[in-house]
Amino acid sequence: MTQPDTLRYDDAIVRKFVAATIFWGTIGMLVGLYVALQLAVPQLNVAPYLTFGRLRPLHTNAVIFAFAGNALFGAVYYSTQRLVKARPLSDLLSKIHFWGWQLIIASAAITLPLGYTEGKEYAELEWPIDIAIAGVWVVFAVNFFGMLRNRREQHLYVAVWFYIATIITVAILHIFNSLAVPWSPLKSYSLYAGVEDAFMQWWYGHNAVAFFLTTPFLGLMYYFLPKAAEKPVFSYRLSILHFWSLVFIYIWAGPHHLHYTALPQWAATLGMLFSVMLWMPSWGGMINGLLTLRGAWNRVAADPVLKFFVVGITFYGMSTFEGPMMSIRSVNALSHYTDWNIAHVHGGALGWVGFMVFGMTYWLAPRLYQTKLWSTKLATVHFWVATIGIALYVVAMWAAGITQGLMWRAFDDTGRLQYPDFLETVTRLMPMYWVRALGGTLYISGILMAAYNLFKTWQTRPATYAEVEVEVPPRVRDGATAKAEHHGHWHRKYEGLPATFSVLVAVAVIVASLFEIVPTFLIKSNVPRIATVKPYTPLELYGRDIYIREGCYNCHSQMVRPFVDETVRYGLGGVPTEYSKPGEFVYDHPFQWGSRRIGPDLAREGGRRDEYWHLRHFDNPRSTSKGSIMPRYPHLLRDDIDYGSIQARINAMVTLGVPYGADAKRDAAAMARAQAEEVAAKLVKLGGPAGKTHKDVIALIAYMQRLGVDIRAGRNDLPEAAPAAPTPAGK
Amino acid sequence: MRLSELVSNLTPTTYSQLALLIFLGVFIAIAWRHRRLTTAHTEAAALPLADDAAPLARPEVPHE
Ligand code: HEC
Repeated sequence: MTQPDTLRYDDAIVRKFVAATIFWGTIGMLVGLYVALQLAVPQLNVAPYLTFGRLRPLHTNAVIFAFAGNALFGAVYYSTQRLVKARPLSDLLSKIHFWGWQLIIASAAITLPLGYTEGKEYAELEWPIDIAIAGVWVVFAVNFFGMLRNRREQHLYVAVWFYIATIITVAILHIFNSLAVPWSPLKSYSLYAGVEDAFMQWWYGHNAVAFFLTTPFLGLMYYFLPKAAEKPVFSYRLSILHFWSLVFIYIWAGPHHLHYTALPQWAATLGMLFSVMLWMPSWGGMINGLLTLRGAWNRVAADPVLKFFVVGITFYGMSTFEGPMMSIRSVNALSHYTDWNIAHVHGGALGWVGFMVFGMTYWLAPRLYQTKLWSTKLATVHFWVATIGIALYVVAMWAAGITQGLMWRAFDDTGRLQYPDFLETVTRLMPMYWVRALGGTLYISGILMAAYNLFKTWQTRPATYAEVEVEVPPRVRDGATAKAEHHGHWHRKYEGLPATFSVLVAVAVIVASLFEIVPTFLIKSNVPRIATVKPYTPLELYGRDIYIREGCYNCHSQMVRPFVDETVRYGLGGVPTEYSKPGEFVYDHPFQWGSRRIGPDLAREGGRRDEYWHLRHFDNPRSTSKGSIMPRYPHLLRDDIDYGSIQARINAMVTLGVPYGADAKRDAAAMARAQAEEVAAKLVKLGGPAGKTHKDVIALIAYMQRLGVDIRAGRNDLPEAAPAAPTPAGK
Repeated sequence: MRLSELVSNLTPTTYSQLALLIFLGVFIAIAWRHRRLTTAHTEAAALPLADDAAPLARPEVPHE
């Protein structure tokens, strides 16, 4: 044995991440409040870059990657240093990690309102930013694994396992979901199309929930909760089972986001089964957390840190019960596309993640700033205000979701849809949207209190921070000592070997992923071709890109599920439509199925309205649909079509294997111009304004009129367009 | 035989059954390995509390 060494922990990096957490958390939640209000008061969509469709991704990205992201980095750096008795590999890497991440957030905050988006939820950021994310993630990984390499503690505590799983899995998910073909410095098309794109997206999306919003925060729980309770975790064995079960099961659950869609049913069933199985380990973890407080419950009354942790863990239990329930096909039939999802994610993000973050922040504040917390009382007020806020929020969204879901499927005594006018199912939600806004306001006032409390605490910090030196045992060499000390107990040995451990996690994740990905991509019968489905014309493709840019998918789905109420609702001229088929989406890079119907489904929009109706509707939805909450898009009537960019778009699609003809490959712009003139001529014939021929709105209308048309081609049992008399707007 | 043919010929339920079996195996193996490890577990569980030995690790806990 060599002499014991000394070690100084790097708390400066933790201070940075904690401050960034509260800063971006405030901004992300304020944007959330703004988009929530836009649904109650559509007039708040004041400018193109401030419309709901562009801001909602900013809100979700800010809360997930900026608020939760910075928090998890802070938690990882603080706890891992102490658990393994080593400093992160390099202070420089820590700084690059911190500033690189903030730069990514800032570029998201600029590009998303400008309409640069890949159009896939929670993976909206465009390809250059995606590459930067991968780069910073690698820096984080090197810094983290370097710290584990230099560790002085033989055993890797279970929290560290959760961190390892996070780092490895997020890297895999991010890289494979983001694969895309760029066609301009800031724009790209997803490598995958239709069903496959949807599958990859929700494989990513669900596991982002698992490995970005769950595992790191469980690591946080397993470290900070024992600290705050001053008691070891209730059952270490249970935490091991919790860990491995989550790593094994979570990866499978993604397809539960795609019930009754064009995703093959076997995949959705698999997702459902594994989701239900997830319930057990999740509750095991929750119980483990709550029982850690055995004998310390009296302290919960006095300590806001423990209060936040108790409610946070309770929300973990609620969300992990609700999630499996919503993944059951028949429940999902009701909940999908409604605000029930919104209730669920906020229970998870504000209730679980948010409360854990605040608990950790209040516990860390006196330690990081080496002084007393400025006001315990204010922290307690924050706790109560946030609890009431989240309760109002979640209850309002449950009510809204179930109300709208039931209204969509209601038939009256005569066998007709009881609410044929979609708008009626929207305006009914207004009172609940106001309650939601109130809940959100309370929650935000809570985070403002935290910011103020932290600021005041920081003000009373010492002139210079004392850097604590701790005595640590000599460095652990991988493998050697592990074997010597613990005669071949395999788990002891393996968990002492971060590399082997990481490989095991990666294998668990990759094997499970391949089990689903390989059949999805290779089973031929998954996507039966439909002969009449053809690629979009250049103008329609341009219009589709506007659809993506404006984030219309945040309010509109493009997926008629095989339910009578949907085939009737989205049928034409009284004839029910076909439900959506996998073969319809083979050229959709990216897919645009959506996840929420704030407006009606658009998969069968073609021929439903005339060109002039669309123009007036885009200019001001309230002119055609009284009480509509869709934003105005007057800029589409002003901005010129950028014909110069169309060839690059077509070429990228050709690279992706979309079978364009020789004309499109040679001069797509000329084809687009010709079609624009046709659409504009129709518009004028219908009494619309002249002079709009080369405006963005024409391309978007062309795209709208194409949706769902191919599947009707050559079928005489389905009408081509709505009856001549324009469908009455609104009522 | 091409991979896509092979995969198409397996019925999709094969995948889920295989997956469940693998999971069950891993789960039982881990549970079995950890059935009796009480001292090791107690040591490990104490790790988060161990760094309290450092001089500054006990500043004012936010109590009333
Ligand atoms: C804030 C949510 C929201 C956003 C964003 C939004 N819409 Fe809508 N949309 C609605 C609502 C609500 C309706 C139903 C009332 C109406 O007709 O305006 C609607 C209706 C429509 C309709 C009429 C469907 C029909 O035949 O009844 C079309 C077409 C449409 N939207 C297209 C778009 C496009 C294209 C975009 C993006 C440029 C977009 N919407 C963005 C909410 C939204």
